[in-house]
Amino acid sequence: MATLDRCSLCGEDTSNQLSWQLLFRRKNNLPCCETCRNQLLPIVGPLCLKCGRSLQQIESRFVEGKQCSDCVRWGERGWDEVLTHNKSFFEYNDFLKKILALYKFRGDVEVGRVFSSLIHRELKSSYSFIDQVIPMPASEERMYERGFNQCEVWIEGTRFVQDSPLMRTKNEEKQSKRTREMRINREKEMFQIVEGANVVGKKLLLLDDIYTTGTTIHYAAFTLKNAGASNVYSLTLSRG
Amino acid sequence: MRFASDLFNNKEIIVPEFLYQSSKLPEFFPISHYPSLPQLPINQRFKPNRKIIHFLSGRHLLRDEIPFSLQELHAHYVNGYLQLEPGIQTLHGREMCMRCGNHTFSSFSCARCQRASCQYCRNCIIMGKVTSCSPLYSAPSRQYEPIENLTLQWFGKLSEGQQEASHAVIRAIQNNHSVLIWAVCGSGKTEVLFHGLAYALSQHKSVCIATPRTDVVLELAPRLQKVFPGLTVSPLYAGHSDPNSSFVISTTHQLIRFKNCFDVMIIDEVDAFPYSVDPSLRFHVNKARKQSGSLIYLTATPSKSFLNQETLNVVRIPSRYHGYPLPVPTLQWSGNWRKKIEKGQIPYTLIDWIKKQMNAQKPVLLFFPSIKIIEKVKCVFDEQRLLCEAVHSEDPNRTEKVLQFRRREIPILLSSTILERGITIENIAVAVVGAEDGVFTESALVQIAGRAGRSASYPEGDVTFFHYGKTNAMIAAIRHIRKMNQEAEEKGWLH
Ligand SMILES: [Zn+2]
Ligand SMILES: [Zn+2]
Ligand SMILES: [Zn+2]
Ligand SMILES: [Zn+2]
Repeated sequence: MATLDRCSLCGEDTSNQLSWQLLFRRKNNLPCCETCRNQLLPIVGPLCLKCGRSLQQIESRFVEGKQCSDCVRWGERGWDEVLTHNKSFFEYNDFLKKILALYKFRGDVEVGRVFSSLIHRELKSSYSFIDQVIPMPASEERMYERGFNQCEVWIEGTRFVQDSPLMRTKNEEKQSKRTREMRINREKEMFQIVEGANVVGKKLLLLDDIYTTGTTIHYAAFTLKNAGASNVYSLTLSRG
Repeated sequence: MRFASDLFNNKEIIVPEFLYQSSKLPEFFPISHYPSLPQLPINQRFKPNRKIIHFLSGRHLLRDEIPFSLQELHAHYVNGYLQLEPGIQTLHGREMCMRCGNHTFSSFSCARCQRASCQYCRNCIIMGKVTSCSPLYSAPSRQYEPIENLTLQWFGKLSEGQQEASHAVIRAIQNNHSVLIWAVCGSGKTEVLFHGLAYALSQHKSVCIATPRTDVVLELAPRLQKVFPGLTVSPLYAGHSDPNSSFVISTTHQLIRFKNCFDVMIIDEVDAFPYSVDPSLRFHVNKARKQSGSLIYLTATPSKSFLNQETLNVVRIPSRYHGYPLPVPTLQWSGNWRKKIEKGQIPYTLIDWIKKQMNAQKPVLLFFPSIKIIEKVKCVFDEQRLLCEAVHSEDPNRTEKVLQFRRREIPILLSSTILERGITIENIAVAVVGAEDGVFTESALVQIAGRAGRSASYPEGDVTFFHYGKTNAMIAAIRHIRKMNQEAEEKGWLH
């Protein structure tokens, strides 16, 4: 049987589509079919300067100046300096939710790779000043369960493949620390610096699949800043 | 998963890394590093856990699909009660997914085996991920205890055609042969199986009826349960993949979780999606069944390639159970009907036909080539106050709408090819609109025509193909139906 060109996301035969795309230089910048591409909604319009969400998509009472009210809250609670800013590519709609489930839960790595070239291009064009890209770390259990880290896949083949300075705090350690320093915010212990890693004075970019409340990204950035990083940015595939 | 090789009772075995507790660890490798794992001899002194053996008997499962501890599984493996094999193996110089038979793989950097390039199978990933480092677990198919007083509780009478096919099924099961039952729509193919199944069960044979569609699994299970009281029927479909008896009614997808399991394998609608397009079907069927067993195919529309490549016995049932001929479709030219619909109009020929059927109190089932067109037609019908509902494969309310149509609360149902099989409604009038479209193959058209005239009270159904140019498929479908009627007539099986 002849091998077909299939869309990595939906399995559609794309052998005809590709030639059409070449012919008309269609603007599908992803290696998937047109139908799938059209279901991915890029985040557009005036954006929150902090978290990169579209300010048009939210009610005006949640917009304060050039930020969304969530980011203003983060600022009020003293987190303003922790994360420089976040950028996200797509709206987290039902389609992307389905795609991410195929990728993360089913473990179909090819599905995730559809976004690699987009991320590589973005790293080159907007983040060339970054010293290190840090894929959001997963816990050891999660890592074994899924078999891979979905954000590490996105930087495969780039100069950014390095040992991560950041790791999830192991459960047992969290427990024991808690009894000693009862007052410390528990979630702040979500991450820790890998023994021997040095981030002092570095500009770092956290890479994650989704920015929802921003909690995970803020806590990761907090740990990195605490260890001496000069700036922490984040880039996520989607904005929930 | 990673394993180390070790010795147990002087036999070479492999041990999962998680079972090592000492600080001095041996070297671990992905299971694919151990290409040939011999079946270990049964250790008579070991007391196996019956639950594990029953669960894994005739199955072919990933670690994540087995609700028992790794320690227990390992103990049963080293004592000869179950087998392990790498999920992906090289056979005849080619790598193959041992679960689905696929040969092309993607790779990824794997945390489970710590290899930068662990392969995985995309073909069957929807059923769980098979990688180079996944073991597949199986245990030999077990001998089933006879079920007391298991008799067929069905006293209906088979038509002559059914009778012949029924004998062929029994013979295939007795002699462990293959047979194709080519039964026209409405011939009563399920009843054809009853006596064969009764025989198989009396011989404690394990049986699987596989069908492409979950709907059929759900419909068939209670029907068979009813005629074999005392038997436990195990319906298997997405989300229900563990059988609790040796009598299984399964979607074809679920077959990949079996190995060497069934004495009698019955494949329903062998021509239907996804078989004809899925080259893995043959692999699935052959893996799930015992090679020494029997294989029975059922279909109303076997493909030419299937008839050509199979050197198997074919038994035809050209007549319906009620003994009236199949309704022969009428061809009706309807011009550029798409353009009309775009303009918000319905072709005259079609509207006349619909009105005629409605005046005769017949439910009207209309087939269209695509979901997009159905949606447009629905708007036009709504504007013209023709009460109708539309169903298609992505419609979550499909079942409810079909029920309403069945209860005659909706006079007209618009459908994609999704309802081409399996819908049976008394006195129905059926039409295909846009019969020239490529989706309406000969077999699709024969199946659609087969919806009409199924009830003995209204055996003369109306079937019309509205078209914008005759196609070979339309002509072939009509020829196919005529030929069957002629054959039935010659045999003297028609009223
Ligand atoms: Zn696609
Ligand atoms: Zn914001
Ligand atoms: Zn496979
Ligand atoms: Zn692996």
